[in-house]
Amino acid sequence: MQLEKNKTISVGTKGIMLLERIICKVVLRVLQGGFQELYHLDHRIAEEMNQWENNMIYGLECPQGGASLYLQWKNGKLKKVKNPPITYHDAIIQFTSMYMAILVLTGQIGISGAYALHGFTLKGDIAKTMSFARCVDILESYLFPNVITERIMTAVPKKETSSLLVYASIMKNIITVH
Amino acid sequence: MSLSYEFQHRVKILSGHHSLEQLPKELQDLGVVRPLIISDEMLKKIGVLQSVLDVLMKEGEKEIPCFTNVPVDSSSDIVNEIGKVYHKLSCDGLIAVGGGSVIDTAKGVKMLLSQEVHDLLELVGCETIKRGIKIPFVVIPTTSGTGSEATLVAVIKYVAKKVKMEFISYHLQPDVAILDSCMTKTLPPRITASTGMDTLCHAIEAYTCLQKNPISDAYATAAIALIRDNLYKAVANGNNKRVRLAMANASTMAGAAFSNSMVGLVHAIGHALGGECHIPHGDAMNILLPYVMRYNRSILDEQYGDLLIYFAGADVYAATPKKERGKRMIQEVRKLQKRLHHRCGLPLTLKEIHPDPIDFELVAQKAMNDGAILVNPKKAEKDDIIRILEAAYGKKGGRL
Repeated sequence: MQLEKNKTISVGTKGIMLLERIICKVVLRVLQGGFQELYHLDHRIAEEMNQWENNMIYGLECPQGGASLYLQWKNGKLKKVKNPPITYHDAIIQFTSMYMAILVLTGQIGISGAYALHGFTLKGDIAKTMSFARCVDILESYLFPNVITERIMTAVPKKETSSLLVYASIMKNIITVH
Repeated sequence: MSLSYEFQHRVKILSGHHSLEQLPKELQDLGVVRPLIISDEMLKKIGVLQSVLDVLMKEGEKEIPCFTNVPVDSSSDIVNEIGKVYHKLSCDGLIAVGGGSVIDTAKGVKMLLSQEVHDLLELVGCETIKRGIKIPFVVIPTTSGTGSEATLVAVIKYVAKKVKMEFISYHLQPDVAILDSCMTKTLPPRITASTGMDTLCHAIEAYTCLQKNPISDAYATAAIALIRDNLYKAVANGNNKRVRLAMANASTMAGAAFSNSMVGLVHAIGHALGGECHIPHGDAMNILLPYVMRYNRSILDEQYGDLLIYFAGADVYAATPKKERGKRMIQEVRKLQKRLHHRCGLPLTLKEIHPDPIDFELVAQKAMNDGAILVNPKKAEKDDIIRILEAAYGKKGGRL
């Protein structure tokens, strides 16, 4: 019997993985900008964030070499942090596969749909994560057109400002904030 | 219905009027020589625990460690204490004999032991717990019920920080669940009714939530049919072994259903009421169910209509026009509640069990932060929940 030991992934899969990683990185950066800018543009986001515990970290992790985003709420401001020490106070969402991450980050399913499909694990308190989930829904209502949001959410939150303004603010955030 | 889903029900179920007699053999199969039994004082007092000990001692009289100090709500202090006892006495398996609190406590102990952590808080979350060290775990439920013997959830109060921790993991499920009619024989009528309605709520929510799937649907509808035929009889005559066993099966099946398809708004509000006002879980589920069904009906009318045949029978289903079936299902639920209310005093409104005013705003806010609300098919805002609570309270003008 000859045992085949394949050490390399096929080229096609490698290419797809690379593309998925790029998409994750870009979308997570947009999400970061979205959260930071919508705090000033949408009172519901401000209301939710103002109730977050000081120093609390919310994280989104994409597996299989994908990007991660950690946002810390500190003294009334939301900042990106790199490789923070995570405790049980925090809430870290880790997608169960890159496929699931792409489905959520490209608006093919919503947070509730991903939860229903066991698309992510959560380390931390579920109750605290619900506030974050509501913010994600509001953010997605600005980022995606109605034809997408109506399909992925049970009810689409109403917008308080224009999506164009939100996109412009996020672009500015990407250029100026690190 | 989505055909993308996950389903797991790894529990071996032994059901029968003398299924408890199989306990020694099951322990042998699991390689357990020295089990630690977790139960509560009430079950010890009324002799239910002794039935289990008698079966174990048929293999030869021996010392069997029992921890019976489990409170009404599972607590982290108790879990830690039991963990220490387990190691001190060199036990090699767990047996939980009791209702939801006892089973959740035992799940907490299993987590602590299998994951080798010192603080349960490290494990809080959803599906982050790995398999860990194998801890054989048998559950013998004494209510019908929370369905905890089949679920992947445990809720444990962290005493020091005054918070309720929720743990979700497939690895919390026991290896074996023994459903024996003698275990629920002594359950009083009022508790039988309340826990039975909890089972009905599980089945209905499992059938209608976002992650419904064909397998959980099969479990849910089978559970509803059993409830239709047996709940009232079990309340009317607790000594009827056949109906007791049927309700135990309904509870386990409903637990397996909702464990895999999740629950919705009834549970989100019910958990909040339990946390804020200490309203017993079964009572909260029973009272809220028809009001939440009315709220959800604009989205779920067809699914409620599908359930009518299981809940009210083929004759009622056939005689009801299709577009009326959803409404009729809610009426049938209400009808059963009223029968149970007259039979054993099962409360119909929140005011009956909590005459003091309830802070609806606070309860609604807590319900909004319950994970169950995420998979309710109809989005509920805070105002919607307040309206449901007002109607359930029996407030004048509180209608949906």
